[in-house]
Amino acid sequence: MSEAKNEWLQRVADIHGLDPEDIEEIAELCIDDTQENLDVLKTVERGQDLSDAIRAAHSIKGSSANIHQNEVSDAAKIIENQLRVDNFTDLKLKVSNLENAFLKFKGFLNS
Amino acid sequence: MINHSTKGNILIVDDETSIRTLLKEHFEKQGYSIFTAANGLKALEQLEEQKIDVIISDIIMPELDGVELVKRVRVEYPITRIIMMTGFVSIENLLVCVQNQVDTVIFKPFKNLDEFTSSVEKSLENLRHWQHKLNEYESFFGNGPVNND
Repeated sequence: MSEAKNEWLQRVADIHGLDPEDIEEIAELCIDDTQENLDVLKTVERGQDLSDAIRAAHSIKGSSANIHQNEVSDAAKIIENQLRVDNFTDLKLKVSNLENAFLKFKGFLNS
Repeated sequence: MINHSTKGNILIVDDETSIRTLLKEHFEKQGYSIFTAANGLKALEQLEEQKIDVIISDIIMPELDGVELVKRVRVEYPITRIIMMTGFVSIENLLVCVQNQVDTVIFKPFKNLDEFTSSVEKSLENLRHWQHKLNEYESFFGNGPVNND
């Protein structure tokens, strides 16, 4: 991440008309939600009902984008789009990419 | 009926805690009273307990999704205004919104929250218009069974 945590909090707070403290709280909630949804994506297998997995990827995409964590959001979007057309090509790798982006953001938030 | 002690009562429905919190903080700072629900079923429970002026709801949610919520609200709370938000748009979902007089649809991710602010203001204006018409009806035709919930 090219900017410091405080700079990022202030930038997102300015965009949404909120305080940096609000954004930090929202980001922590986003971390909790994303962790749960990531766990759903890690267990997805071909042949099972994909509705929960699609919803999990969709949720990660939306909640991370709203706090301008585009790397996480983009990785989730790729997975959501693939699952919607039942495409499992390199899915494990893509879930792993998502997890790496998520862990990077989590580390940034805890810095 | 619009709650006059605040700018209005808004019910935010989304299964994502962070999105509910983001919108709650935003609208509370603007003087609205905010209620939240994690899915359509919880939203219907809130509607039984609170007078809600505007519902802002996600479409894709567990238990009862936004499409089913809209259909139920239109039957049970015909005057309540609805704004939908979604990160996945299908023509079927958009048509359901049109058919059920949803005021607008806001696409996720949100660039900023300005569209929410202006949409809620327009929805409240719309609500006031229909409340005025119901009052007019009452004054013209007597105190018939008008329910302005």
